[in-house]
Amino acid sequence: MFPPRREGRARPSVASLSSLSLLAALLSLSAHYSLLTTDCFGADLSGHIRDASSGELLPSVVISLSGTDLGAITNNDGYYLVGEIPPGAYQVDFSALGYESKQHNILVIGDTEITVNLSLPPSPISLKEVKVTAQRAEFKRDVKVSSLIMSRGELRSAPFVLESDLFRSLQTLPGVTSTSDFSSAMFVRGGNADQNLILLDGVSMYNPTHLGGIFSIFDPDVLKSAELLAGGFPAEYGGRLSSVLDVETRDGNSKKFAGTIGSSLLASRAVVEGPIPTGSFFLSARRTYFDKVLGVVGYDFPYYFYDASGKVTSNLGQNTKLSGTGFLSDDRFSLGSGNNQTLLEWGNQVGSVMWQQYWSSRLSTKTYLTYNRYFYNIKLGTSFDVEDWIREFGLRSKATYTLGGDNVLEGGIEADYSRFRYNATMLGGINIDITGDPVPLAAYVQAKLKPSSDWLVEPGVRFDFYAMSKNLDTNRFNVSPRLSFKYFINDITAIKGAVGRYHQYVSALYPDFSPIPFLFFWVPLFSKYQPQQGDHAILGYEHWLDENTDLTVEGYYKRYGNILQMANAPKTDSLETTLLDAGTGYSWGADVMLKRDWGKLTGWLTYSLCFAKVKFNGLEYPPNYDRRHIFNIVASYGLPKGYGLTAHWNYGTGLPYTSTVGYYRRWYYRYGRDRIGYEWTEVPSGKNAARYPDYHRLDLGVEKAFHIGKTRLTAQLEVINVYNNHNLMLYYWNYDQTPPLRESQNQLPLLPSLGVKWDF
Amino acid sequence: MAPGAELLAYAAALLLFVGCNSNPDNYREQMIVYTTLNPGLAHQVVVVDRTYRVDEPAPESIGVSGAVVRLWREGSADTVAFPESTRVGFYRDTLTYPCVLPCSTYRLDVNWQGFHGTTTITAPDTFRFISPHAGETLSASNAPALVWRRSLYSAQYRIRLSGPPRRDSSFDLPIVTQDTFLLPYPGLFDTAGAFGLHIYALDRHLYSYEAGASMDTIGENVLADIGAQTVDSIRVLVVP
Repeated sequence: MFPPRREGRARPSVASLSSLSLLAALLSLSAHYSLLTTDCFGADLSGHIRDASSGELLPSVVISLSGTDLGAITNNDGYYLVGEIPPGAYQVDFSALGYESKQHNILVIGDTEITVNLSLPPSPISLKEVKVTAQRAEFKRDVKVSSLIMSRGELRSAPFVLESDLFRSLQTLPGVTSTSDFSSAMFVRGGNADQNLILLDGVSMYNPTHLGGIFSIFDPDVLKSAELLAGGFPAEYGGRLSSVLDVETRDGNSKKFAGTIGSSLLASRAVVEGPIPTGSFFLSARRTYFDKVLGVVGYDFPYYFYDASGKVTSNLGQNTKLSGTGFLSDDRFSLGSGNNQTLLEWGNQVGSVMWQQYWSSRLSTKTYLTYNRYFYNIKLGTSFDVEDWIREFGLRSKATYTLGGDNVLEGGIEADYSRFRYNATMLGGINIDITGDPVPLAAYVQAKLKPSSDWLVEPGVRFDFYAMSKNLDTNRFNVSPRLSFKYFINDITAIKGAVGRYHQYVSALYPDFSPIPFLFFWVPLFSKYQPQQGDHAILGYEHWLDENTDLTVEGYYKRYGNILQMANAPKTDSLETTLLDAGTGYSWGADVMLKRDWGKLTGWLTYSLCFAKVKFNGLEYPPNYDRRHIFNIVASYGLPKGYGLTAHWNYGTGLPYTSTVGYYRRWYYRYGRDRIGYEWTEVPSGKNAARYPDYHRLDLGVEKAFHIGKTRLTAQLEVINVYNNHNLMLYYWNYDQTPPLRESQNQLPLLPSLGVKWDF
Repeated sequence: MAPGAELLAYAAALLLFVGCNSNPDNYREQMIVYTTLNPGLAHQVVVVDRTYRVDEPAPESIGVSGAVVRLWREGSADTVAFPESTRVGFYRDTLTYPCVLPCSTYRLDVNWQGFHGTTTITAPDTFRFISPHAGETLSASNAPALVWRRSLYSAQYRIRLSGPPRRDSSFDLPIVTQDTFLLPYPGLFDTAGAFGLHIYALDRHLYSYEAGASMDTIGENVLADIGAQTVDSIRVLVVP
């Protein structure tokens, strides 16, 4: 039996199939399964499962009917459906890791709908008390190609650098490459950093980072889960080529007022939450404090960041849920004032309203109204002034209908109105203005089908219409077919795969030689260019070594067309045709993950192999994020008396760079002195033909929890780069000496970090 | 070793092998040529230099000796030779009259130790300020618009101030425009005194270099920054 699909799950696709025939096949299959359903008799058992202490809806609760193979798993909304239960008396087991199991008896006497809503009390139970973990149950019910989920617990206990950070945690997953300790940008399976769709409660985010990209703006304390779809994602996701990061905030505590106060060496944060008449709320805020602390002693520290979020959830009866989410973030660096001010500021303002309606036990809809404003300003005295912003209003709605048996049909629509503005004023009156008001529209249909006990198949197709306006005078229409499958060799082993086509209509501008990819400037698709296009093909193997240890191996091939990157020397008078270079590329490789979900020792071992190449202006080369081999070991170990240990070791082979093989004087006219002069300039090697040394780092952490009454105080100590390895970030040349001397800039040295958190 | 394990070991070794990249040393010596032709000058200078391997010390002398440098107007048979000057690497014409005229296209040809580079350059036309006038008295608090005539064959204009030291260092950045005017710019004159105003009309090559373009290739293993410009200068008096 299959529950309704969990929101935000990776499902793949096929480029080779004709999209229209795929759609026709999808609809006829759905009709076929629907006909089967009407011939069947039995009851539908459905309901919501909550945390008894907080009232929060619980995902990944395993529901099983004793003595049968019937069962389900709650989705991210805590909802489950077990369909077509034959007449009879059953004991239904509800179990989840970290919670007491519960049993409920039902009597099925006909074709009826039975609703069982339950709350599970939290309990530090052992694995033996849980018959089947959710991950193990999902193995049998979901295709899950290239899907990597981090639960709230994993996010909160992940190794941190000064601050807990979602992106840092994701960088430990297979297929994810980072290029610097100073950047949280992710490069997934050979794709560029701007090819990742980042969703926060359904809202697409453009630059969700603090401190120039070092931290993400997501506070792990308010997140329910984060799912990274590293490839082959289903038709409900579009607009990016490489991956999807689907982040959902949790609901507030609907049973009692509670909160968390925490502080690290960098920032302080607080979360308060509690019940409201029909639901719950939470408010959270985080801010750096150096400027305030140093201001007391008269020092004007020029930088701060903050983020704040809030959510109100209202349950209008059993079948209707409304929620509203707001999110603000701001980074500001300001030095000097007036005509001498240096200002760097960026931020996000996000709002969304979600309406979820269960029309019956089998039909539900989820609709979002979204607003997103991203802005970025830079000002250098009177000589340089950039104002950049994006505003988006969006509507997206998704319907889920459970057909007969284990089959689910889903469809949705998306409509956005976007405004992109980039205006730069430079000394001498030079003005660069980039504007565009695209209107992306999309519709999709996808299904989860179980044609036999050995097969799961998930076909889908997405239609994108990119209506352009103003300077973007060409419309684009694209069809993106997707398909994924799973074949069960036996109860613990399966082969799975996915193929799909993907399109992208926006791109971020940053020089491709930059070791730190700042994703500040986004531009829409100009009429000169075709949409960026990617094709994924993935084949994988999954095997359960025991009840809570999973081995996954996936090989992939990705092909890119019309990919865009910032040109080396765009012309200010014709930016719409010279700002970007269009190219092609491909990547292939394999990801291996061994994950243990439960027990005193948990964590994962990963290995990633990746080969990536891009081709621009006739030149093919490895992009500067083409890391060939990556190993990760992430482990958490629970000790008695509230102690916990974490460890993370990362090893990655060197990244490509363009080395210097020679040097020369580049002469130029020195206008200030009306004579010529020179500066030493490098003779480069082939583009990205050299590699930096390998990277490796060990981080260790220890935490101790103190229970004070009904509250808990947690102290954390983390040591970054324990053996102080000199990981190289870049080389540069000192031409004051002859021959020039190669010098280097390293990444993070050994760095201890402290944190404290009080949950009440 | 079991056959499966052996296969796995081979596969791992293969992956590690294909994963390794050596750092290539693909250095090849190249000739470097630089000149900015200026019709307003009595003599033109061409610099001929070379590249050095990254571990090779550069000699104290600048440029290379023994190059043969020639310039002629396109369509003309009269070639102007640029013998080497007393400064190594600097090649200068010895004519008693300007060999470069505005609005004319010239071909530059350089030979050195088997390297050969050749390219053409079109010198922009002369032009002049329209406003302000030479010797005009201006107010520091009321910056004027600068207006000048268009220069044929120029792609860009560069504005330079000379005179009293500026208080606002941000104006050290170049003022570059493709228009034939600069709108009143607050703070352009931030102090009183006698200022020199200079407008350079740059040809499209210099325009490209200003925009960050890499050097042109004008022959096999020959890199060049070759451009041309004309200039007009006036002096103005700025009062508080």
